[in-house]
Parts: sequence; C-alpha cells; structure tokens
Amino acid sequence: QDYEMTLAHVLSDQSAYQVILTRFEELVEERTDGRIAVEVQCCGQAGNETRAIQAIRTGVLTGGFVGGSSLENVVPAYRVLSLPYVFSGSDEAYEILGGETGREMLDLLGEYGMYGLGWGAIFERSVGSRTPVASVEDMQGLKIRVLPTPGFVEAYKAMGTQPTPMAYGELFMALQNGVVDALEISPDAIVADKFVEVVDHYTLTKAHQSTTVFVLSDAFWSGLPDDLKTIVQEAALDAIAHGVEAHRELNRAGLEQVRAMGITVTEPDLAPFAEAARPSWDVILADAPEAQALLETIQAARQ
Amino acid sequence: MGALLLLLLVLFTAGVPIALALGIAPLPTLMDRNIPLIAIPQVIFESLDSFALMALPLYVLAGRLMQFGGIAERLVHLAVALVSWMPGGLGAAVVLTSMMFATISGSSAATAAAIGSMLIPEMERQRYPRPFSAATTASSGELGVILPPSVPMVLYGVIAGVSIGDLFIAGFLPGLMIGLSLILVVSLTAWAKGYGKRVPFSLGVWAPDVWRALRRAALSLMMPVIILGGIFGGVFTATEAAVVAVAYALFLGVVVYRKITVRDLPRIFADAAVTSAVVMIIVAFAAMFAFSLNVIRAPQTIGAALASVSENPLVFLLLVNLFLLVVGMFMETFAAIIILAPILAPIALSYGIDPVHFGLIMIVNLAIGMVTPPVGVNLFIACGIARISMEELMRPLAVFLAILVLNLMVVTYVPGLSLGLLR
Amino acid sequence: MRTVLAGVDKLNAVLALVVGALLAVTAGAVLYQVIVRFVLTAAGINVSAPWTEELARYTLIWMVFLGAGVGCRRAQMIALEFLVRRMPARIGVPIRYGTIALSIAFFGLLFWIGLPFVELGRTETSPVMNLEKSVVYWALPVGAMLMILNSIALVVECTLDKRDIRFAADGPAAD
Ligand code: NA
Ligand code: NA
Repeated sequence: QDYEMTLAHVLSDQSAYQVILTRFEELVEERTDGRIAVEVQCCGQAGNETRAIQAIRTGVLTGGFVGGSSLENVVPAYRVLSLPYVFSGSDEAYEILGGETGREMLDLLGEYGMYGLGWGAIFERSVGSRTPVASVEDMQGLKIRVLPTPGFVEAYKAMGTQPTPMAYGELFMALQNGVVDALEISPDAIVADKFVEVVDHYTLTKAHQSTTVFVLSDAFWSGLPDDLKTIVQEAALDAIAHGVEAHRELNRAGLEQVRAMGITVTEPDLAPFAEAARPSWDVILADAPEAQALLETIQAARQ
Repeated sequence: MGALLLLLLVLFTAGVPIALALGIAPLPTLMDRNIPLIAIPQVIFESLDSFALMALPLYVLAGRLMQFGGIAERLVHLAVALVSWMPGGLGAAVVLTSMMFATISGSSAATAAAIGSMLIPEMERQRYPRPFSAATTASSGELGVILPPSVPMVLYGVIAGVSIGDLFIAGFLPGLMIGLSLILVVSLTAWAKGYGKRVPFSLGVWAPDVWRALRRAALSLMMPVIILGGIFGGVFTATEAAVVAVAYALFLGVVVYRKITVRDLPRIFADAAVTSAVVMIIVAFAAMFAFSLNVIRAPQTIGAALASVSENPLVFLLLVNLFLLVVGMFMETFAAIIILAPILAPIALSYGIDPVHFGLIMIVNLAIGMVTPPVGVNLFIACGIARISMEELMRPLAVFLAILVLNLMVVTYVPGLSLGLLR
Repeated sequence: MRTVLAGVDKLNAVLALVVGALLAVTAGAVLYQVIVRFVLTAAGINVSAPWTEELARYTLIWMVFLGAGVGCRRAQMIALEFLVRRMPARIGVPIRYGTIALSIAFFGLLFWIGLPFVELGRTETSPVMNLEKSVVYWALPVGAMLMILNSIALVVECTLDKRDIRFAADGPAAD
C-alpha cells in the first residue's frame, strides 16, 4: 500500500454520497491491487462542509463530496449554479455538467488547491408547504426557510416569498408550530428528515438543481503517478454513474412516499415561476464577473 | 491513546488552563500522523461558528441583568412570604427562590450568588448555623442548571447534536423533584435541630403577605412564562429565548425597577462577555481534542472497552455515574461536559440510551460536582458569603449530597421523568 | 515598567468595552431576527434578515478570542489549580511559571498558524454577507497576541509586587 485516501462527507451512511464513495473505494482498491487504501468518513465526522473544504485545500483531508453551494463561497464562478432555473431540470443539469462545460468548471478548482474528479448526484429542490402553492401567486408572503445563501434568498424574494433564516435542525418544530409556512427541499430529504409529517403540499417548483462535487486535495492529486491518476479518475466516474442511478431511484421512491403519506403533489407550469425569479439573477451575480462569464458558457451549452 | 490522555492529565494537574491543555495535548499526535497544524484553526473556528452556542453568552448576560436588576430580590421576597411558616421556613425559601430563579437563569453559580447573598445573612439573624445556611444555598444552587434554561444544556446540545429545547423540557420534572426533596430535607433538619424562628401559621397574615409579594414580583414572574412558554411552545429556539430574556431583563432592570443605570451597562456586558469567552474558548479547544481523539479512533476503542465490561445499559449508566461523580469532584462542570460529552454521548447511544435522557444524567451528575469538594463553584460562593471554611461546611453538606445522589439515581433509572414531557 | 503595565491595562479596559459591545451586537442581531419573525410579520411587514445570524456568529467569534485575551490578564482562564495551590511555594510557584511559559509558547504557535489561516480566509467569502472570511479569522492571531501580552503582564506584575502568582486569579467568582 503506497497511498491512503480519507474521503469525507456530511450526509448519512444511506446517502448518494456514501453510495458513490464506497463504490469508489471498492473500485480503486481492486484496480490498484491495494496500492491505494481508501477510507470513507460519513456524517460530518470530518467537520461541516466549510471545514472539509478548508481541510481539502490545505491537505489536512484527501478529499470527499461537497455541495456546489458550499464551494460557491470559495470559487465565485460557482455562484452561477445557484441561479434559479438556470437549468430546465435535473436531466439537463446532468447532461451539461457531465460534458465539456462541467469539466471546465471542475478545472477552476485548481486555483484553490483542489482537483475535481466529477459532478455527483443532483438534488432537485422544490417547495414543501402547509398551504397549497398551485401558482407563483400562492408564493406571495409565504414564510419559507431556504438555504442561507444569496442564490436562494434572492431567488425566493423575487418570487414574492419571505425567506426566513432558520437552522435546519430547528425547522421541523418551526413548521409544526407555524413559525414558518414552507421549506425548499429535495424529495429524498423531505422523507428522510420527516418533514412529510408537518407539510401538506409538495409543489415541484424545481427552482434549484443543487449540485455536488467529488473533490480531492490538489496536493494529493499532483503527488499521484500518472497510472494511478487514470485509475482514480475512471473509478470516480464509474462510481458516480452508479451512485447517480441509485439517487434517481431514491428520488422516485421519495416522491412515491410523499404521495403515500397523503401529501398533495402538484406539478405547476414552471414558466411563470422562472419568469418571476429571473430578476434575482442580476443581484446574485452582481459581484461575480467570473460567474457571469460562466453563465454565458452554460447558456451556450443549453442550445 | 494512552499517551494522549496521560499528557492531558499531566497538563490538567499542573494547572495549565483547561482550554490550553486541550489544545496542547493533541499536538504530538497530530505531528505523529503528519496532519498539518492548520487543522487547528479549521477545527476551532468550526466549533465556535454556531448559532446554538450563542445561547451561552446570552444566558450569562441575562443572569447578570436579573441579579443586579432587582428581579432576584423580588423572587426572594415572594418565596419567603410563601414558605416562611414552615419549620426551617427561611431555608425552604432559599430552595424555593433557587427554583424560581433557576427558571430564568441558566447558571448555578449565579443562582447561588444571587440568593445566598440575600438570604444567608437573613438566616444568620434567625439563628440558623452558618454552615447549614451555606450548605442549603450551595446545594439548591445546582438547580440553576437543571431547571431550564441551562447553559450546560446548551453546551451538551451543541456538542452531542441534540435539540436544546428538548433538553430544557426534559430538565423540568427532575429539577422540580430535586427542589422538593431539598425543601423536605431542609425542613426536617431544621425541625429536628430546632433551627430558625418558628412562626405559627395564620392565613390572615400569610395571604396578604403573599399577595403583596406576588404583586411586586408579577413582572419578574413573567420572565419564566416568556422563556419557558416560548421554548415549550416551540415558538423560540433556545438562542432566541435567551435574547428575549436579555431584552426583558434589561427592560425590567433599567426602565421598570431602575436598579441598573445606563452607565452600569458597559461593565455588565463586558463582565458577561469575558466570563462567556473563557468558557467558549474551552469549547473551541475541546473540539481540537475531540478531533485528535477521532484521528486515533478513540471513541470506538473506549466504546469497545466499555462494551466488553458489560452490555447492560443499566450497568453502563452506573459506571458512567460513578466516573462522572469523581470527575465532578475535581473538574469544573462546563469543562467536564465539553470534554466528555463528545466521547460518552455516542457510546450511550450505542447502548440504546436516549440522547436527551443521557444529557440530563450528565448534567444532573455534574451539577452535583458544583457542590462536591475540593473543586465546587457553589461551595466557594456559599463559603464566601457565609464567611466559613470549606471544612466547617462538610458536616451539614453530607446530608444534602446524599439526597442529591439519590435524586441522580432516580433521574438515571427512571427515563420517563426526563422524557415524559416530550411527545 | 509600571507605566508599561498601566498602558497594557488601559488597552485591556478599552478591549473589555469592545468585548462587551460585541456581545451587545450579537444580542442585537438575534433580537432583530426575533422581531422580524414575530413582530414585523404579524404587522404584515415583509422583510427578510438572513444576515442577522451570520453577523451574530462572527461578532461572537471575535468576542471569544478578545475576551479570552482580556481574561489572561487576571488569570481568569479556567484551570484545575487546587493541587498547585496546596503545594509548598518552592514547588508550586515554579510549576505555575512553567505552565505560564508553556501557555505563552502555545499562544505563539496559535499566532503563527493563525496567519496562514487568515491567508486562506482571503479566498473564502461568507455565504450571506459576502464578507471576506479573513475578517473573521484575524480574531485568532490578534487574540493570541493579546493572550501573550497579558500573560507577560501578569508575570511582570506578580514579580514587581512580589506576589505569589498561584493566587493571582483570586477575585470575583466566575459563573
Ligand atoms: Na436554569
Ligand atoms: Na466538585
């Protein structure tokens, strides 16, 4: 054994992250004949994503899975990913990030001491609420807990809601007591974190496709000989392909479960939502010319 | 792991500040594992960057404002009016006031200091022996961290990832039970030994007295209603409840009772800030220590060792209680929770013990540590106010300690007491 | 020497006020959050204040490092001192000086690793306020510097006054 990799993530040992990283562990150990040993640490054992990214950048940690929205705070260009309705849906997001544009974006990480192995599962976030949200008009004045980043806060402001800051851990109680009316969340998480017990409606507004990235410390990556680099890179993409399939399944099951719990699932026409959210783009990208440039590339890729 | 713990122990006993000992002890381990030292600031900033932890300085501040703002004084008068007819009435009033004050203050030391400084001199006038008064004050002061709100519960909640609101609710019945049992002990002892002035009960005197005290204390009594109501009702988070307490205590102290002037405020805020900072810096470096324990997989090793002793959770709890009682004798409560919660909470979970219940056990246990020699903050305060030595305090204290330990056993082995009020 | 000490204490007096003010800002930000959620919404005023939490967390971090720094002046950092206090002076006092020297060395290490951490913070921004994180991370090296300064001041004072340094912390009890 010549190399050790410790790969961390903050989600549970049932999550897509875990599925991908354990598959990666199997593939790498098998294809390198044990020259690389991989250890996966789930559940935030290596700290929250802010710290994990710091640790990866400084070589304290080999790598792991982090959310694109956490990387935004380091790589300004990534803010483009939290623009509402920048992708038409998760299929388009998978396609663009899996292609040339995605690779270009991963290469941006190099400047910050990281190497991107690939884009992982995409979490399509929609609105769960106590009151029905059939159209964008129903969003007016809705007290909603959103991810506390400008990409989410501004988007939901533009759609007429009142984004309310709230720790995720306090959210269940807050919904139960009506301190907030709604949350934005992916189908698998609304089931896993039991929010199905406190909302009556789930509206597939799909404003954000939350991306995830498999990153390594650049210090580790550049120290690997070329043959191992190839194996690691390929194993990562194979593991991701496997994990994304599992994640889609989890999503399907999540939506089914949501319906089974008696929650009204609505699929509204998204055009009015996208239109209402659009003015937030300028605010979100205001101080990030890098993201503006990247937006043009993504829009070109969408054609 | 042995070397790491040994080094920590040596640093502790040599009197290196706990925060620094927790930061220094891991250094050899980190260097041995080639972990870049920049991991240190990464870990300590992560641990401090927490909304829940903010409740700590806010409750410390609220406690100061209540102590100096005339709130504590009104509660004392109310409690005296309520129970002074009992045998040992003034002693019972100490416990009762501590219970009331505890529902608005998150700290035991603040509770003991606020109540002791008012009632110990009064007890002396009524011919209670000073060591008995001091022992009463010191032991009922521990209710400050058991009845909600509670600063140690904030710490435990942050560290073990448990809802602080749930911990607060869980502390309610155990706090009530401990308080009532202390009243019983005080009253019986005073009756047996003839302490204090005996006032025959007369409704005609009692009722108007209580009514007067109640009217004077009405606004102060709104405080627990706001804090506990907000938390029980799930309307506030613990941090938000703390800030509401600060705002209300400021309003009462400065505007209504006028016991605090605007010129006092910078000093009160600065004191509360420094007091909180020296605790929170321990939180920061304890995270560092936990990080190094995690690097060498210590929780797993300790857990396996404990499991090999017994797989019975009841035996595990007994061992933990004995261990914590010893720790509590020597170590300051906050530090003990900060250091031990990350190690013990996951192990307790693996024994199938509810994390909220386990938190309560830790807190009730370590609260006793505030009243056990040689290191016990409540003892220092009570001895200071009563102008007696620690040795004089020991005899009357023994009965109280026995009762506190008995209560601890009930809290440990009757989970329903803690968890009953939670859905 | 005395004038230097007086200067250090003037600095500490100012910093104590700063630390208190930081706590006030934290409290104010959280209070504003509560008011926004309960009072303004009830009044039908639609505002969102996602910055409150971030501001409160960052001011608190500064409060911790500056406050702990100020605390070093009176040896207020919590320690298990009962053993050292009960030893005869000729053993206890040297141990106490040894622990202070060790502490100062550790503060030096914190300062030294705090600088590259600040550097790292230059390429991080806070999610909500878009603040460069180095603004927060400076708290560590600045706090470490202050702790060194105050630890030295404590030693100097005890030497000048010929006081037993083991009892330098005796004062009002902390809660
Ligand atoms: Na309390
Ligand atoms: Na003790």
